[in-house]
Amino acid sequence: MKKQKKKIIYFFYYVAAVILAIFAIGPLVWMVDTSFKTNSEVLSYPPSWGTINAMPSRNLTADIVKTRAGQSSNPSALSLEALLGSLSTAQTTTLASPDTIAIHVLGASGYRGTGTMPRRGTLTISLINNEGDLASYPTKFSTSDFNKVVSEISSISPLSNDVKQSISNLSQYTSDPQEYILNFYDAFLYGSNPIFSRINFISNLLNVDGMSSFQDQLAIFKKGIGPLKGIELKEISKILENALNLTTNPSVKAEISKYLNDITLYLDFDQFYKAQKQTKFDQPIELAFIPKSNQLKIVKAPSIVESAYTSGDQIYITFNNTSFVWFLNDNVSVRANYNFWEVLANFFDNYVSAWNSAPFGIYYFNSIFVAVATTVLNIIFDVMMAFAFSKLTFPGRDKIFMAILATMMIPYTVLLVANYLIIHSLGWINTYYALIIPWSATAFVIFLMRQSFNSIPNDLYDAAKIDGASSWRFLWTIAVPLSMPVIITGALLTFLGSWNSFLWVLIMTDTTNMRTLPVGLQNFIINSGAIFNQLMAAATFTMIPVVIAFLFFQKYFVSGFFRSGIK
Amino acid sequence: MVNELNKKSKYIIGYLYLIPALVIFILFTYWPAIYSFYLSFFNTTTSTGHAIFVGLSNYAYLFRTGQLPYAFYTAFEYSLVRFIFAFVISIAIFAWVESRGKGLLKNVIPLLVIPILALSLVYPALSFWGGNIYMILLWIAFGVLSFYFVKEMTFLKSHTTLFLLSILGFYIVAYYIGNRNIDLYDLVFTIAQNNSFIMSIWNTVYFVIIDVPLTIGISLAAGLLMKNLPFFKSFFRTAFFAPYVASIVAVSLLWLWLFNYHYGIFNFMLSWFGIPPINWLNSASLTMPTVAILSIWEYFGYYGLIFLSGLQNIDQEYYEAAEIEGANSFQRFMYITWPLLSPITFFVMVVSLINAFQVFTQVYVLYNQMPGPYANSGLTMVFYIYNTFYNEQQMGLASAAAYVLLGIIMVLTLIQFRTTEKRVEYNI
Repeated sequence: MKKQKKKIIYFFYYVAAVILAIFAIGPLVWMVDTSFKTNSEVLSYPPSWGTINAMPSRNLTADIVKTRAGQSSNPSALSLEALLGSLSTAQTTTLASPDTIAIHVLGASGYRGTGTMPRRGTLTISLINNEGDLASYPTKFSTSDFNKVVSEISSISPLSNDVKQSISNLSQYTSDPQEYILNFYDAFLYGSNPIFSRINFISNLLNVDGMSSFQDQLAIFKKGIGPLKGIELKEISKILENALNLTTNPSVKAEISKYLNDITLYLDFDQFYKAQKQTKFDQPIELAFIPKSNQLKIVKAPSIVESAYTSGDQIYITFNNTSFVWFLNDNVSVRANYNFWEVLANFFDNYVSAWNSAPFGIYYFNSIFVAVATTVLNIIFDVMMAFAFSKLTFPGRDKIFMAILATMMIPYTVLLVANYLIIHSLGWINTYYALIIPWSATAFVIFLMRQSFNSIPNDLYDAAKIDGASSWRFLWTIAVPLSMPVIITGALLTFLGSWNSFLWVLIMTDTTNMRTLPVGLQNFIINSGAIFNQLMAAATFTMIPVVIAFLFFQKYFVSGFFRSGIK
Repeated sequence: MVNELNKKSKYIIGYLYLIPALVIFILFTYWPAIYSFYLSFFNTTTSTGHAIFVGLSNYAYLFRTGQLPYAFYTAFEYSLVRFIFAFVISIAIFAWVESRGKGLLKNVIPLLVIPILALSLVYPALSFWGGNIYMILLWIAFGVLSFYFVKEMTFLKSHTTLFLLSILGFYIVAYYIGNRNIDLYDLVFTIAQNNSFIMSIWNTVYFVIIDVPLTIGISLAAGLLMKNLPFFKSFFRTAFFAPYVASIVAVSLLWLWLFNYHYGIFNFMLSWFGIPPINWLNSASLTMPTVAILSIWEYFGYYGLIFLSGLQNIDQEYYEAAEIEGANSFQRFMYITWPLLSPITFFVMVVSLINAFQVFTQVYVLYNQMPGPYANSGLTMVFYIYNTFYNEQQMGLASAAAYVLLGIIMVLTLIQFRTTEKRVEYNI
């Protein structure tokens, strides 16, 4: 019965302990977890534990760039002059060869906004047509067919004003089929204000007198993404034919037939465009990143792929004599694959970028140097003082001890102003002295050590003296080894205090060269903005040395606390 | 003669041991303490470059009140009535507890208790004329009368904290049931709006009030758990202590992420319970509580370890004896652990109070080097000192502010010494 009760009590103890432990390490675990995530995973809601960075492959969301305006050139294929020219005139010049397709990578799947592409591993790029198969391209382009279809669509009338305008604009490109195709689709589908834009086209249609009775049938087409697709246009044209049969008003009839002709014109041209693409890609394009180069190595690709490179978040693939206009209506799927080392590199990517984006090497060195120096001096000075308080006799000993203890009550922030002026007058601003010397004696540690030395029997000291040992020798060969746990506790406390000191370093230094990790980290926070994965990575690596030191010395640390018996 | 010389050289050796540490203490603690005090009487931001003696005007500047919206004494009057009401009721309750089973006070106390309780029932109506001088005199008379009884009450003396809490509680009750006009609280708050130093004291005290009791409570719980768990002791010890190892900058950065409005894990966890997301970092009223949560998390393991070391030092025989007597675990805690732990509790209280009054880095990192999201809601005293000294270069004013901080800490530490003096048991 009693045992049962005890068990229940222990159960509650463990529940409480687990809750408290989760409260304590949960945030730290979440910090480390976040530090491995990609940008998109950090900014996703609800948050998740895993990260795609640990995966050997991932899908990247990508689009084919449908206009030529945004394309920048392949720098390696340019003369120096042209390269300089392209650099000086920003991105407006369109130097890209018409045979280069640009693929805009939006980052890992599910990401919105600009992403960063991990620049390692291999990319498997598949161009896919609307039916889900690999895309096709023309091998034998017939100019006569092109001329035929152009004259055919030019003869269609009446057309709505926009289309009429566009067709007359296009007539300037009749000598250059690729340019014609590009501008044709630009005008109808992909431009800034395309004719077959979902909302506008349907709304214009519904504005025509008498069409309002088809409201229900047509309004469906307003829903969806992007411009109207070929199948939808066919359905719309069926509805329009139906409407044409039902109306008797000639002016309405004329109006509707305009729209009908628009669609017919587009479908005719689209028919021709599709018919030209006879040869299918036999395999996806596989590209590998080359370190420190923007060229991509072609691992495996259909024969028409000539070269590839990346710039920003775009991938450029140059084909042999095949214009990118033939893939305007296709989709692209990009899959990145990584081997073991590349996965590892992805996994620690944030650490590397955080480390490189601020002088953390300097901060690290400063922190270690200052903390170690402070700790060593502390041990020497504190041990000496504590020993004198504990084992030596001289007038005023206890009064001085009380005076030292009293400093524990004075917060150091209160003395900051005066200390700054003192250190300034010593000429120590921006030196290691300012960070080390003022902290090389700690009242609390002296107190702990005195307690520990007090527990060493005086007889031992007397015996050593009789044997001819000096007090100095007794201190370092007998007293210190006997109070090791307390000394390690003191060392850890001072190391921790020095490592984590912030306000003091902030005020006493003002150059990067002299700053330690906490101040460096604070600067990094200010400069980098809210990239929380990198910030968490930086926070993690600033903690690592102290965490290791603590885990290593934990046993001594705890027993040192007990031994000192703070009373 | 030789003996004399020998003794002297022994003394000198003793002092030699002290020298390195003592030099550091003198140079970087005692001397700055004196020097700050000296500086606090000077104006250092003059075009001539010399410090000018200005007497107490730095201190006067810190506490300037500016134009007040209403008279101080009106607010004081209202507060006084409420305070005496709370005081009298608390005394009555304590007297009632005291009088139970005691012959001596039995006859006197009810005489006091009954009219007071009767009066307090009509308090809401009476306080309607809050400004009435007779009203105040009446309440003061009751206060003095009840104070007379305090002398004989031993229960009250042994439960000072409880008594103070009871006064605070009834003060709040009085504020809400009475005529909610103005109060010292409102007055101070109004002054704080115009005076950033008073604002900084206000914020710091607010922080300390949240932080210190919770830290002590949680760390005591952690200490007790670490002592009583049969298995995985060292795991929990490491877990509880882990936050303390990290630097406050890294920790604040971490909590900046946890508190994030859109993607933070806290708001996500709140969503499990259907609570709408809280704008932790962008709300003036949540500034200090947010910083307090972070600070409690950072330090509870450290203080827990100190509690644990105190608990380990309690003689196990007491518990064995109590077990034989049939004391349950609550009784063992109340009558053995708590009294024997009192020196440690006192130590933790003093240290955590001193630390809490120095809150700065958390605010500095969480709010991007600003004192809070807006309206100086995160301006703590050290932040004020830092800002006056580092950004405005007013050494004298900063020193004066630092000395006010030191004064507050000293007074509170002394109060702690005084109130716990009798109850701390040093006989472990």
